[in-house]
Amino acid sequence: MSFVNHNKKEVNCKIVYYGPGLGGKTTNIQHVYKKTSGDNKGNIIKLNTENERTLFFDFLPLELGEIRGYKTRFHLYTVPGQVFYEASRKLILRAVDGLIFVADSQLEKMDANLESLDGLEKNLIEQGYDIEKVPLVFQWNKRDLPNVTSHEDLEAKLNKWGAPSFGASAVSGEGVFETLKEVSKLVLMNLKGGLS
Amino acid sequence: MSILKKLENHFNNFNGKEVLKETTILALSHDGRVFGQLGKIKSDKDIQSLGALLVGMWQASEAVGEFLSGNDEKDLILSFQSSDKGFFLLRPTEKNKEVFWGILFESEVNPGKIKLYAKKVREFFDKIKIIESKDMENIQDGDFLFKNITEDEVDKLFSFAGL
Repeated sequence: MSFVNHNKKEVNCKIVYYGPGLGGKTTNIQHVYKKTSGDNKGNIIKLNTENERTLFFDFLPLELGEIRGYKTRFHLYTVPGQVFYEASRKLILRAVDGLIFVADSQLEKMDANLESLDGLEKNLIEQGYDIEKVPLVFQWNKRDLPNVTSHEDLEAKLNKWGAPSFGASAVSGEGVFETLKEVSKLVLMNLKGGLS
Repeated sequence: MSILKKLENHFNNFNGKEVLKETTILALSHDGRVFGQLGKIKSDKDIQSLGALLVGMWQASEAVGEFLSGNDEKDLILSFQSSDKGFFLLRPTEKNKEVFWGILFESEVNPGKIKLYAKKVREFFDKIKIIESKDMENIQDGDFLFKNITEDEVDKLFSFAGL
């Protein structure tokens, strides 16, 4: 749930990167971290396994400047993508304000994308959310690789809600900020009232 | 009155303030955002990370607890400590169910004393209602804050990324 502090003129929002394992969720926030100046970002926190896979979550606090006099602060989280970390994914979805589904465009990853998206829908329902009401943006990642599924097929198979989508290559940074900007806009448009 | 101001004003009357002067006290939301900090102040960026980590840890521990039968959660405290530094994490009370308490300490001769005072802090803040129900209603039912947001306004937020 977003946290609006009217006295301090500050809005805090939680954005979660979701998707299959090795799809590029961590790479996305690493790129955001790398390209954001020191004044705008906090420490990136990575809770990893020994072989650098996400164990619990990655976290990056980001300050994006002001909008209508309110300081905007985004907390970016990634979930662990590996199938057996379902319990952790559920926890990280709590109080989510916006979602980026990072799909792996490689042909052989379609099943993994579908399984992850199915898990997302179910986990959101468990948390009392309707996926159609949560700001959601799709990112078709790894467009730089050969043997990728076409945009049209990805849209048809994964994006049944007609949510905004972007092609990306998170390793080079292409599409990373475009995706984040879109979900940020949807989250800000969705913000209500708040605590004082 | 803001939540932070309310916390600060009430804490001014706390008897153990001197004991906790080298301790950082964080009032945290269920999703790891920081309502306010008292005692030894840490940088704004550090407390954001601390909030996310502390509440993440609490949620994970609570999920583990669900696998255990017969555990009494009422007075659950999480702790991580060496002989002189560490933290305690205290669950919300029935009255202030929106607020977790994180108590962090360094260079402390007697961590047991900090644990005792951490509980006292939570009890002391239970004399007031930290977040009023009208505040919560605002979140659910208030008007959209930035209903007619424009592309230009969003572009400005991301101008640092060259978009």
